[in-house]
Amino acid sequence: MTSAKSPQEQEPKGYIEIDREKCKGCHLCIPACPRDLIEISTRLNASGYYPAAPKQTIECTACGQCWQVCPDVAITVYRNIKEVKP
Amino acid sequence: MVMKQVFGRPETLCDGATHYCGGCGHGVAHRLVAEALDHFGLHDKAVGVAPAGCSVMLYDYFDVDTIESAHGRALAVATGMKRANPSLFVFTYQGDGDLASIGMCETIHTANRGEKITVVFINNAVYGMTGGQMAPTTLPGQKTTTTPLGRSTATEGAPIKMAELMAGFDGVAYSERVAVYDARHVLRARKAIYRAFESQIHQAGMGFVEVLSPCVTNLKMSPEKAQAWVAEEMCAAFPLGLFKDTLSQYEKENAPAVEGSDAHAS
Repeated sequence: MTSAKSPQEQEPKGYIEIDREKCKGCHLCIPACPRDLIEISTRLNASGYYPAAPKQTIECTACGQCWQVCPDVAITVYRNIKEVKP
Repeated sequence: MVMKQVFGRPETLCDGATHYCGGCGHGVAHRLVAEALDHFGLHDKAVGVAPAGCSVMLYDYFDVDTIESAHGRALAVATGMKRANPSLFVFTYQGDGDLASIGMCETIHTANRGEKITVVFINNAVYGMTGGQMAPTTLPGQKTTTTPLGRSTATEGAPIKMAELMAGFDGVAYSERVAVYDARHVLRARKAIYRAFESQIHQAGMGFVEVLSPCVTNLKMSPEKAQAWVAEEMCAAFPLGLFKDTLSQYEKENAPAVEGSDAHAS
């Protein structure tokens, strides 16, 4: 996501967070992502589901399509808002 | 670089996991209703009426006052609430077993009386909570626990198309059928729910939205396949679309009053 970003790297347009404990592992967000940036976690959550997890990448554009289809509202989408210079 | 949250949980939707099965359409419909409650600033004057069915525990999920009704009687309860205090915003959230089967009488007569109530109707073509029996909206040929050979239109009749039925009543200002199987249709559903809220806010009449939703467990499908089933089979039997919109005309006729009372509504 946003961690370990070197200055040479392109600025990410956004990122998503998936609440592991709210996710019920329906994985509807995976086909919904136009860039295929969500994968299935290999660790179970407390309810016994394999939750969805965002891939470690800066390609996310914060389009919010995963959030639209998530039945458990487990996804939060953040977008890079460029500061307007006066 | 400033990262700003652009999509998150609506304020009116309580924090915590729901009891719905993974991939159930109820969660998306809940989020859309909560967004509409936030958008129109109805947190303090909204009353929800919960049905019997999968969404029976609605009161745990919305941070507004909610009343639990007897099976099918949500609209009768909502009528009483709205008449006792017309300043309240009253919405019901009902499934197909509740609204279209046991509550058909209340539904039709409430629509006929033109009560200013918003109705969110979740159609998943099956009785979800009780274990997958045939609902009035079950598709012809669909196998359920009470129609193991598939629903026969000769003996069980054809599925009831509620959005078209409700559009026939003069008291209904807005009737639309939407689906929640992909992001594009979720956005359309959002707009329809907003319009159904506006028909009550602007005192135009009843606002009715039918949401086609996948029931993962009782269709015995994976969430993705259940969505595809809704897109292909259900949308063929229940065509999506707007069946009645006297709200737009009403808004034009009453434009000055509307602008004064609710300026921020789009």
